[in-house]
Order: sequence, then structure tokens, then C-alpha cells
Amino acid sequence: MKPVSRLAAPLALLTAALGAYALAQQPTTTFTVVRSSQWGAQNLNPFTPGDQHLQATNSAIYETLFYVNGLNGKVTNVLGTGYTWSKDNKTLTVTTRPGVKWHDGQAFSANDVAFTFNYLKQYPALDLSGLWKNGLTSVKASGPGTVTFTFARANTPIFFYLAGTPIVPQHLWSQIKDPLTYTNSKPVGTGPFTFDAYSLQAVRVLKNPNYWMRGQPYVDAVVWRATNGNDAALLQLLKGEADYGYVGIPDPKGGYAAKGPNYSYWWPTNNSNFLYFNTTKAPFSDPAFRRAVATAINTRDVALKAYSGVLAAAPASAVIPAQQAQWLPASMKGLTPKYDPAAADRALTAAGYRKNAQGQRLGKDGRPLPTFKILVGAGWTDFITMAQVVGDNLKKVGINTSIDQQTWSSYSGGLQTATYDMGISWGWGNGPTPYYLFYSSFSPELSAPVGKTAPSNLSRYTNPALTQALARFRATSDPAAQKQAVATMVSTVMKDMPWVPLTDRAQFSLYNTSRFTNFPTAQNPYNDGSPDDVPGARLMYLNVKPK
Amino acid sequence: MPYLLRKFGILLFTLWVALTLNFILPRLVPGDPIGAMIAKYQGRLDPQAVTALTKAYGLDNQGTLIEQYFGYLGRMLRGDFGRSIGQFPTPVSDIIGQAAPWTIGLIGVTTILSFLIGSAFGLYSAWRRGGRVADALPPLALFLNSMPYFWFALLLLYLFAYKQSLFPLGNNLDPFLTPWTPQWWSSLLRHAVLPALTIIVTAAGGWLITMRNNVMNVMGEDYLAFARAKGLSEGRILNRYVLRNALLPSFTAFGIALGFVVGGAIFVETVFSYPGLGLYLYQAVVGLDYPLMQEIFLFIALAVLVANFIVDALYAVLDPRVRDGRTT
Repeated sequence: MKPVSRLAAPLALLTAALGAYALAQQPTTTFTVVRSSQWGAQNLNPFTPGDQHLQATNSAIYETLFYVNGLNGKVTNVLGTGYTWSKDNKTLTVTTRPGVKWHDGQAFSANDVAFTFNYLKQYPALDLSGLWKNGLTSVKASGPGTVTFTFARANTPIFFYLAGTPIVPQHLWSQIKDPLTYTNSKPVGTGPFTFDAYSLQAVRVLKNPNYWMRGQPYVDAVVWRATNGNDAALLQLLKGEADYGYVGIPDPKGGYAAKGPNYSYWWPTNNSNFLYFNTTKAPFSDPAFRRAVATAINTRDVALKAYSGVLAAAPASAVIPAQQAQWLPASMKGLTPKYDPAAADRALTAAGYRKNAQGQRLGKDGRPLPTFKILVGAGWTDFITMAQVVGDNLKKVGINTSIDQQTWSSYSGGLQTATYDMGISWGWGNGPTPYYLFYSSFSPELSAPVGKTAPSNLSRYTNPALTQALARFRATSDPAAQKQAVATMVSTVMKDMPWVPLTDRAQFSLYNTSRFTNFPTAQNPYNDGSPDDVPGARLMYLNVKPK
Repeated sequence: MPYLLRKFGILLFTLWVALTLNFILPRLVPGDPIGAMIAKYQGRLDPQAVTALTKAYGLDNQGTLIEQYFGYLGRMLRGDFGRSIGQFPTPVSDIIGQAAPWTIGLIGVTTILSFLIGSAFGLYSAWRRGGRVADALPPLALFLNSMPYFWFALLLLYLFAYKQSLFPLGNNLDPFLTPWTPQWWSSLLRHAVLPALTIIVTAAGGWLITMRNNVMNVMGEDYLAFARAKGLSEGRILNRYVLRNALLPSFTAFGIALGFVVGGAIFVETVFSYPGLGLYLYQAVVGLDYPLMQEIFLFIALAVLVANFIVDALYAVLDPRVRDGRTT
């Protein structure tokens, strides 16, 4: 036995040294993401509110049941392999993927899915999409590969949120009693990457060798780098220090793509910018006034001046181009706002807002209308330009405006508490069908009395016809019935004009293609061009290939 | 000692005022943190999250303003600063602990360096008045001192990081290095060069002018003429008579400048994405992160107060008139 043990010691040493060497080896292909913001302390808890967990948590480490493409609603199977709604749309049955392993080697099963959703019920502060508040009554694993979701009332759009909930392992999370403040420093998920290193400057994940999708991902590691703003992030992309960044710059064509063959971008339209009217204030409480004002605004000019041709005028229906074919009735397709100052002028007079001898527009009480403020974010050049064009347009019909630049918190606070006159902002709450935008913008539940914070009903507009259409949409999974409900929503809103859709709004993906290919593009839209902190980014990390 | 005791009393009182302002000011900012967060996601965060977020941040049941105020004072005294909203659930103290060394290291060291360099040149410029270099220094210093911080930082960044790639574009370190190794130190220094240069170049000019004026004043004093008449060596006059007396007023200003290290860090740290207190303060204000804002403000107030107190104390040692409590 002696010689063996004499040999064993150096062998063990050698093995240890080799092991250490293997660990110290740097990954050969690293896909680098640059962020235009900083992150703080190390937190990989996927249930932490907001995106205050590290980006990797949502996009590389944890997986969801499905990925729903936000542009066209296309569903990609992830941990779920199929789903069906019951006849009354109150039961959803999801089959789960067999043969999936957690990062620690334990098997994933439908029990983990049921556990995750019941965990959200147990800790309501984790339920960021309000699943249990919106009618979910029970989640059960009805077999090793089936999960059944039961609802008190039909609410089919909830699928989008259900599908996007990160699934965590029961064997680890059942031990965690303070999930709200738990920072999860050693995350165990089912995703294509495992957590490796964290610092204030960079976060790294490494390829999961046991990932269920054989052969993918093609890269060995993904690294996120923090910067403090768009300019810094853009420089890193231009210098080739990063391969991808979600960076909103004013002119992606001239300011980025034109600088070289390896610089490309994909900015699919996923939302719109709106001129919101505060409908709690006269004269904005008068639909006739709002309609007339809408006709006076030249949205093509607004888009051209604000985005120099990169983004177009918004469709008047507020249904984004990617969803129009599926959701808009033929009669409403391609409706662009009709700009007609003369008609606007006549309509205002007809509605009781006459002009005086000086050309000033008068209120219904016969006194000149005050100068209305247009609320924008301080220094947001695109919104300020929009407000200028809107102001010039309204001047022509005798309405005076001024631009009210506010810092971020006053801006969002002003919109949410309805203390503004008119304000420019994006659609608060968009999703894979037009329902989500109309629901967040105009549903009574998301409104609040003036002075109180409304989550997203900024114009404080509700209409029974619209509220009913929203309810009809929720209650069915039949695309034809849903399409009809959307048509009602669109026509109601276009008639009452609580907002004016001004310009398109897009995702901001910038690529440096010198090292990798197969990015999501308009020709290959396998995700919705979404930023790196949402589940859609996982598809990019799975598909990008080293050149 | 009644002089120092009185100063200490003022320190405590000012601290209380600072704490109270600290409590009031964030509440005067319109909007609420949850609203700001929902808005920040520009439609990507579900509005349904409001209830969950309110609960998560403990904003749902806060009590009356008075209760909040005394609760706040009590927590401050116990050193419990709560959890950050912007970086939930990290305790604010952890964030400060992580960020403060970078700010103190970068801005603190460069403030001292710019004081030393500026004062040395100021002394030289006054002492060698009439020489070509000495007379060229003050206008140059005025020019550099009046240059906007921000603009100079961007210029450096563009020339030496983007065009020439001599230095990194930002941050404080290359990722994934083992701390305290030679590579780590070299990375740390390379990242510090441009921000440090920004501060030293723009701040040293001010110290140069201050010091030069002080020295000129001293040089006009009778005791210098007397010292010269006694036949003392130039070196002795410079060290014992000029430098000591000229440093005193600069010293006061320096004490205050040290106190403002944290506040002054905002610009440099924002331009260079340097993860110090200034950057976090900026982010806290934008995100309505009350707990983080409050502790950084408190940190600044404490730094200014303590620096002032130390200067006062040192003055008592250095200046007999102060020590005796006489005002003239």
C-alpha cells in the first residue's frame, strides 16, 4: 500500500493544480452587453421588484414557462411545452418540459411550477403582475408534467404575465422565509447560463453545460458591463468593447450605423408617444374640444422634427404596426391622423369655443383660454421638440401653450396625480396585444381621484363602452371575439380622443457585429428587440453565434 | 476650552437641523418612489405591481408625519438607515460602505493633491514674481479654474480614452480581477487617471491663486522686512515666516473643501461612471430613493461639520487670538 499512497499525494496535488488551472481559465467566447445605467449591490432574487436584481437573473439564469413576443404575441415554449384553456376560460392547463435539470443537478418538475405560483400567493409583495389579485384561485401540479391554473373569472390576457413568471426550484426556495429581502447570491435556475462573478463594473454568467437545449447557447459566457449613460455605452459599442447595448440615441442611422459596416441596429416599434389630455380639467374634459385639438396637430411633422425620419407618426388607432394586421378591422387599418387646421378651427367654434377679435380662442364662458402647459421631462429633446411643434400647431387655431419641463420625479408625479394640462409621454403598459395598452391607459381600476397617484390611467379617462370591451376581451380566448372587442376599444378612444398618438416609439437595440452574428433583426425577429433585463433577451443569448 | 465646547454645541445643533431638513426635503419633492419606478420602466413594468411594490418597500403604512419624524430620528440615532429603494433590498449602509471608499480615495486624494500642487505653484509664483514662468502661472490658473468641470472631463474622455485608447472609458476597475494583485492595482490606477486629472487640473488653479495672494500679503508685512534686515537666509524666511502665515487662510478653505468631497464628486463620477457616493446620490435623487438620499446627505453634512470643527480646533492651536476667545 505504501508506494501507492506515496504516488497519491503528488497526483492529488497535480489534480488540484489542474483543477485550479481549469477554473482560472477565461471563457473563450464572451458575449458582452453594455448597460447605460449602473446597478447596485449584488442581488439575484428574481422576485425583487423592478429590475433591481441583476440583469442576468431574468434573462440568463431563470426561465419562464413561455416566452410571449411583445410585438406579435407569438408564443415560444420554454419550460412549458403546451397550454390549453378550458371552454369557460377559467382553467389553464400547462404541460411542462421533461428532462430539465436545475443548475445543482436536481430534476425540474411541474411541482416546481406549482410551488413558484403558490409562493407568490404566500408572499403577495412578490406578485408584481398581480396574478392572485386578478382572479387566480389555485395552481396545482396535476401530474409529473402538468400544471393546472384555476381562475375565479375568465381573464385570458393574464396568460402573458403567467407565462413570464420566473420559475424557481422548490427544494431551495421552500427554505427561504424572507424572500422579499433575500439576495440569492448563488442562484440556481434552469437557464442556459449559470452565475459566475459579480462586481460593480461587470457581471458574468457561464454556459450551462447541462442545458436542455442541446448545442445551445453558442457562446461560453455573457458579460454585462455598467456605464452611466447613453454616451458612455455608445462609445463602448463603437470601440468594440461591447457587442450589444440597449441604448436610446437620437439618430441610430447617422450616429451609429453610418460609422462602419459592423454597426447595426434594430428598433422595432413597440409603443407610441402620446399627447395626453388631463380630462379632469376644462376644456380638456370636453371631447369635442379634444377632437378639434387633435385635428390641429400635424403628427407627421411632429415625428419628422423629433426623430428626423427614424420613427414615423403614430397610427391614430394607437395599435402598433406589428399588431395591426391581426387586430384592427380592415376599415381602420392604416388610419393616419387627419391634419386639417381649417377643420379644427371650425370644429372649435362649433363646439362653443369662439375666437375674439385678436384671434384668441375663448372658453365657453367667453373669456380667453389660459396658456396651457405641455408637461415634458427636463432636457428630453425629443419630447421638447414634440411640444414645440404641437404648440406651433395649436397657435394657428388660437390656443396658446408653453412647455413645462420638469425633472423626472415631478414629471411622472404630475402625470400620475393629474396636475398637468397636457403632457407628452409613452403608452404606460404595452403588451403582445392592443388590450394591454387600452387596459392600462383607460381602465377604471388603474385610475385614481385627482391628487392621488394613478398607476397608469394618466388622462383619467374612462368610458363604460370601453370598460365593457375590456371585460369582453378578458372573458374569451376566441381571437375573433377579441378582435371585435379591440375594434370597440379603438373606435371609442378615437371618438373621444383622451390622447393624441403622436409618434412611434421603439426598442433600442444596437449591435456591434464584429464578433457575433445571428442577432434578432427585422428579417429574423425571434425576439421583440427587448432590453437585456427581460426574459426576451435570453433568446438572443441562445442564438448569437461567434463568427 | 469654552471656545471648543461652544463650537461642539453648534455642531450638534447644526446636525439636528441637517437631519430635520433631510427628513423634510425629500417629502417636498413631488411624486412618489413607486410612481417614479413605474414611469422609469416606460411601460415595461406592469401597473399591477403598484400594490406589491408599496408593500415591499414598506410604504403602505407609515403613520402620521410626526410619527414618521420621530421614528426617523430614532432610527438615525441607532444607525439604522433602512433599505435602499433603488437597490432594494440592500441596506443603505451597505451601499454607502461600498461606494464611500471610491469617492474618498479618488476625490479625497485628488483634493489633497490639487491643494498641495496648487499651493506649491502659488508660493512659487509669488516668491519668484517677475520671472517668466512665475508670471505666466496666474493667468493659466485662472483659465483652468474657470473651465467647467464637466466639459473638461468630457474633453479628456474623448481625447485620451476614445481617440487614443490610452485610458479606459469609465468605471473604476476592469472586471473580474483578484483584489490587491498587481493587475488590480494597475487597473485601479489606469481608471483613476482621467477623473483625477480632471479634478487636479480644474481645482489646482484656485489654490494657486489663493496661495499666491496670501503670500503676496505676507510679503508686504513689516515683520518680513525685519527678518530680511536681520539677515536671515531666504530659505528660513520662506519656511518660518511666509509659508506658515500664508497657509493659515488657505487651510480654512481646504478644510471646507475636504468636507465637500462627497458633494463635489457628482460631476466627475457621473461622467466617468465611477461608482462612488456622487453617482449614487445622483441616482437616488432621480429614483426618489429617500433612504439612500437621506444617508448620503447626512454623510455630506457630517463631513462638512466635522471638517469645520477640526479646522476650528486647529485654529485654536495655531492662532492665540482664537484660543483666548477674543474676537479681534
